[in-house]
Amino acid sequence: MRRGRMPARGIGMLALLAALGLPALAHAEHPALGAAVAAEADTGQTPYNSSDGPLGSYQTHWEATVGVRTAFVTDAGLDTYATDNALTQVSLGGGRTLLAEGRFSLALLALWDYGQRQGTARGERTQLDVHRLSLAPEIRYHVIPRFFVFVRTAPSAIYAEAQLDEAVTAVNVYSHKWAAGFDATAGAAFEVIGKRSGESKKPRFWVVGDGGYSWAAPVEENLHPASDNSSAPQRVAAVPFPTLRLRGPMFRVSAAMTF
Amino acid sequence: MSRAMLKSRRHPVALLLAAAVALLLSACGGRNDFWDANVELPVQTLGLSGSVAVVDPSLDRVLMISASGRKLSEKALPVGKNIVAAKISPDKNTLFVLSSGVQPRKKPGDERPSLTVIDGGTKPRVEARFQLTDPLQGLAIDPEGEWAVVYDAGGVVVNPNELIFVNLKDTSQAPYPKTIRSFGGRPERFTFTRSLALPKGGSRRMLIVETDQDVTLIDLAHLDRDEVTVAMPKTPTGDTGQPAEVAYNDGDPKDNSDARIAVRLANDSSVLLLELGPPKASANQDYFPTPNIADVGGVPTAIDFVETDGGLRLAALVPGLKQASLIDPATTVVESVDFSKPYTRLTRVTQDVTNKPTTSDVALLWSDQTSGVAFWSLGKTTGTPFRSVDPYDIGIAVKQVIDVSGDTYAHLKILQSTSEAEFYVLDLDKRTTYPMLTNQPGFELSMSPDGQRVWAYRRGAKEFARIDLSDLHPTSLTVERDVSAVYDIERLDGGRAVLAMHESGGGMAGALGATVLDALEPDTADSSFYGGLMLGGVR
Repeated sequence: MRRGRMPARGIGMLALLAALGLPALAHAEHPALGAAVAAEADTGQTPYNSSDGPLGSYQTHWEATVGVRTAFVTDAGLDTYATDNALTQVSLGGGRTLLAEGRFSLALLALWDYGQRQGTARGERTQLDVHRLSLAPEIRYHVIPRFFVFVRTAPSAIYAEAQLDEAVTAVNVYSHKWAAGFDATAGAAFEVIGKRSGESKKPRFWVVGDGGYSWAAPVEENLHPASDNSSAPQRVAAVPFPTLRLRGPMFRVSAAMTF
Repeated sequence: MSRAMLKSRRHPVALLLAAAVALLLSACGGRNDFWDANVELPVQTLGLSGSVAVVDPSLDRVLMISASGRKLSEKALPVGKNIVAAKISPDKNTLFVLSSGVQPRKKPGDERPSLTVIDGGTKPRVEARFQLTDPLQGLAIDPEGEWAVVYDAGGVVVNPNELIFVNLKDTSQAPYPKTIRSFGGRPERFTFTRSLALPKGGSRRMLIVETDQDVTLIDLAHLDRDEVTVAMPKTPTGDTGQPAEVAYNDGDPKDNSDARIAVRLANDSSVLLLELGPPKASANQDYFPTPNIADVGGVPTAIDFVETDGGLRLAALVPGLKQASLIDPATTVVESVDFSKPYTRLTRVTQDVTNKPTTSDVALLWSDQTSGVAFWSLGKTTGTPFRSVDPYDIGIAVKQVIDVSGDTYAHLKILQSTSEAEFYVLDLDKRTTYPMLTNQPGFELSMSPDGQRVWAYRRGAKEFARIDLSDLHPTSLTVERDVSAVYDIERLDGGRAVLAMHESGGGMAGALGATVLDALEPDTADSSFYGGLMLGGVR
């Protein structure tokens, strides 16, 4: 039982947490955590292996997530493809807890988000496909073993494919562009299914929600026919679309399995 | 638990709810109306000297397309709401867009009718915008670029005889509304005269307004003065005569009281002559029109003033009699000249031939009823009228005679056939004709503003051709999509570009594209294709 200890690594994480704007959480002392751990100790179970952290598999684990990410893009660039501002994507991820110290832990997730919008531009069909590949370090704080809050920054590589069914050329014209971006979010996870014991290596199932702001570099959209499209006219000039800035508030709701 | 404590506990929940509502509201945000605006078909395109104008009524704008090399650039110019008419000036340098504004106006801020004047050069821009008082539908443009007249009211109660004069040379002047007197007619055609010497006040230009039963003369230098309205004479059946065409002439340059206006009447053998002589003492005009009527023996189909070896005459073609009547405007004595064919139209070409006659005119006679054209030398009329007409059998009836702009090839005329499967290039100097055969009927002709080339195209076909007027060599071109129009414009980087426009509709969304080529050395292997032009101007 190491409740109350604050080693150097924990201090470092706290500093990072404080820098990310959650000083209140960083300084929180939740009696329930100690109570839960103490209760488990009172049942006579084996103390946690120190390498697993104080919360065992609640805290130190591999993780796979599936969810839905919705960004609210108010930039006019999305108007070309959608009648509203929502860009909803399916979100898949996986990761691992890298460090655990007390109630704090550091995890690293890899995320892939994919979404599509379809619309019309003056009667011509348009489509936008957005892939987002992110590597997301995440600092967690377990309020109780089954509930933790976290902050996450997710540097991302965004691949946007714009498409227009151009009526004069009678072919589809495309734009394929990569852009850099990031998500800065805060969230919480609650275990819904799992063994009570932190020693258990059986899978645990969590509901995870996070929200924050998503930023992406501007994407200049110049649409061309596919190079192998023989029915397209020769030397087709690009159809310029408005610059796309995939920026705005976002949230993600996921189901996660840890093991 | 106290109410204060409860309030403080609910506070974070309220914040979260507020944030969620804000997110949902931001998700529901609408989009720019641009993307939902339909493309009205057919798309109206107009070729100007340095750009092509695409009228886009759904967005209350005109897209101006200009070229540099094989690259096109688009500039969206806003015009007034609800476009009702767009016209270009005869020199193709200026575009006029008439808008009716918001009708009915419900709020003080609702836009009023307006006339937008756009420079159609290689760097298009809005030159002026005139706010109008009434939502009129018609637009008449002065060929000399001094005036625009807005007319033709629509609505529950309208004044069809209200004209709004817009001074294009002085944009600081507010448009001037003027209601012309009428005997029940409404304006149908407008003729802006060149400068006419009047008995008082020197020379000035006039506007001749033809209604369906009278003719009104307006002094463009004194819009505030009363106009003069001349009722047409009764026809033999007792109906009021209907003006069908007007012609004017300044007469002897040394005589300021012999300017004349002639009016041809529809379905009537009479021609009305108005001599603008000295005004009555009480009148506030600088002239008084004295009418004379001449009967030409049959229904004339065209009139014009011509200089003959016997002096100024009004020529009236009477195809029913296969003849022309030459009316002495001073005496109304009529002399007839017989033709071998019933020519219905005449075009004076005196100024277009290289060796211009000094004392008399040369006219080109043509007809859309019968094949052939004829040169009518008006210096040979007196005494030898049979020798004055040189007919040329070209095998087609002529629908239209197209002038070649500029001076270099002004001696050439393009004779467009009624069958539209062929056309002729007529050399006035050599008096020779060159047939140009097309592979299908329905071709249209587009003259380059620099007067060096003619473009022939057929709507809905991929083929079009350039005819170089220097050697009449045709160059056939085939582009990759159907052509809806062809425009020859000046390029930003010098040289000239030709834009073959492509319009898409028929079940698919309305869209516009263009293939751009070098107009001087057109080669489809050295071209660029542009689609999605109606999406331009949004970035």
